[in-house]
Amino acid sequence: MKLSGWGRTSTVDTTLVSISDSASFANSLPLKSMIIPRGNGRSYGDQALNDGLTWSSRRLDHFLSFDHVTGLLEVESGVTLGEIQRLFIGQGWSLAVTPGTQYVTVGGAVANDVHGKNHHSQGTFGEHVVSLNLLRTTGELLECSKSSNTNMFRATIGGLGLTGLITSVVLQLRKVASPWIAAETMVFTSTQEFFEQTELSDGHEFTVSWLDIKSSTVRGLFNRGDLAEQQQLAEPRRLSVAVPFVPPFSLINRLTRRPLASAYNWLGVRAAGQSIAHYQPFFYPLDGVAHWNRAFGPKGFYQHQSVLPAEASAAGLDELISAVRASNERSVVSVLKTTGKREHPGLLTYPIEGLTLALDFANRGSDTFKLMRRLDEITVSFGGRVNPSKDATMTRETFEASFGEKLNEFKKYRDPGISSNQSKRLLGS
Amino acid sequence: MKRIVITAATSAIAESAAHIWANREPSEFFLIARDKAKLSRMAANLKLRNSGTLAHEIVMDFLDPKEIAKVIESIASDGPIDIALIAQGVLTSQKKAQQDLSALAESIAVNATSPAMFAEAILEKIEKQGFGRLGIIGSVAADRGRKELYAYGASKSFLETFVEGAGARLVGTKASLTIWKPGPTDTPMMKSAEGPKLLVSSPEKVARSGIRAMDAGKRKVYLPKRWWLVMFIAKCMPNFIYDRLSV
Repeated sequence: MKLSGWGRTSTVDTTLVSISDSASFANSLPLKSMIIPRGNGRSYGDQALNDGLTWSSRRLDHFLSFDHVTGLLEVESGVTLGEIQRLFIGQGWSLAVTPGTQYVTVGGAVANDVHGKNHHSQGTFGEHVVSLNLLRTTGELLECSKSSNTNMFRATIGGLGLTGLITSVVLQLRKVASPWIAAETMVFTSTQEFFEQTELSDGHEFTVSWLDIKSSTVRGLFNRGDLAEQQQLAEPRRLSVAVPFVPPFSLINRLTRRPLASAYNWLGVRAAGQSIAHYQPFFYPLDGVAHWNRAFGPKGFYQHQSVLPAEASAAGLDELISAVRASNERSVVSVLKTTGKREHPGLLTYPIEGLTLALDFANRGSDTFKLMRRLDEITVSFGGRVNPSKDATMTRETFEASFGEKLNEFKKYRDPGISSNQSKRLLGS
Repeated sequence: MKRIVITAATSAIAESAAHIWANREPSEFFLIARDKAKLSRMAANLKLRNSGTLAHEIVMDFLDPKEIAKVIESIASDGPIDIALIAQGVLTSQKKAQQDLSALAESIAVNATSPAMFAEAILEKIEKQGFGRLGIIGSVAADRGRKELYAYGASKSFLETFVEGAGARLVGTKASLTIWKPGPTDTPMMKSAEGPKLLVSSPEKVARSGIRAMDAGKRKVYLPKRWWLVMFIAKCMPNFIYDRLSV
């Protein structure tokens, strides 16, 4: 069947094997052809694409155990983060780290070592993984944790699915008082103001900012928040809108981008100030629109996310913004987020301490591609990293510059039976 | 609290059905299967996803009449059986059934003998109670033998005749017996069978419609419904045409 990444920029014709029981599946191994594990298909580029065989974890969707005293939850890898949040927030427990969509699987969250709005206080998803079970394509099942198969554990967290199929994970949940977030939105009109607001927000658990790059200035909305006590509020009704089909051209284009950005800014400015938000719209604003990726039309879109080291944040950000301005491409959803100094649970954990910038561009062919390359160059020149979970275009050199020596260490733990189109591009096999 | 018995509880359709029932109201499940590890996994998931659910795990031989009688007896001794679903089945390929007589015998035992024994044991209880919904999973393949799958189809068609008669026993009571007739479903069982992926439905959809038919006390339900038409046409076809079709 035909599969593509969330960005829909490339498609493969692959055989999808749905795994519903890892133990009996292990008996059918090894196989002759190369495979790649795939969760819910939310990686942007070619991380979970392979022309030969794809192992789907979506039927590995069982909750296995939960300890109400310690908050340790064991789930199979195909369970989505949203399923965990819905089931446990009402019982006073929540995922410690969640990315901007709840539609990723636990396996995918581990393999990409995702982070969210609270990176500076809770780190990446992998920091809260206690142990995991890994099925190698040889049929071998490994239990990996900080105390057993330690190196394999570190290689698998952020390992882009290249060390084996993660079959189950033990997660440490955190206690929460309610599903509510005490949120605050502030307006900024320059990057300098953004950095000032960042400094003033040190004590807040969640921060994230929307950035609007205009022709000579920038503006944006700075959001911060903290877990709130139980509220006497009705849970918001979930909007169920969807982009029902792929339009023949990108709905986000030269004509619509400015009005969309202005409308979003106008709404944000109107709502500026303090409020109580439900966790769903706060953490997962885009999840309200099903298949939003289709809005970019048949050619899809690229997301570029880079992290700049703290000392180079301001200069690097200016340079990245200038590069976007110098091109014909415009990003409608640009997101800024500071990252904290954390221990890295995975060998290829991406966020270093500093600032991340995520930019979405409709794919308009070689011009867009050139800009992606230019943004890579700038990131690397400032000592930053390009996020491999979002990537669809970077070169092997950029990847090597981003992760350095760690890549050679990582290669030792790769599963010889696994490759993705991304690993072929970035690691040569 | 409803008391629900499910055999072959780890099979995809049975598992989906269990979640639908557990989601409706807190229930007490008696989950019967052959593989202990698979059953524990299924039961843990059922309980964690549906708070207030109780689940007893019963691992047993599906072909031992004495054990079947004993297990159903002990479940019924503590209270009524409100709902039961008999879901075991094995899709033996026709080629294998022709070449290996023990595979043929196993197919008939798992698809016909075993469900009939469970059904009889449970029928006795719900007939006495005067209420209860019993479901049994048959197949569209039972409607007409075809050269590619007649061993399987014949074993499932045994259940049709069984249900016709046994269902009649319950007329006038609040108890009912429903045979589910799913077409190809996206389950691990189907993975071992060759066939077009067209017309395949999900175990969740099959379970939802099957349960609706049980609620309504129907004797027979095609899952999804369009299979009724497909099989009606197949049954009307004269042999000289049907035999030439490679279906």
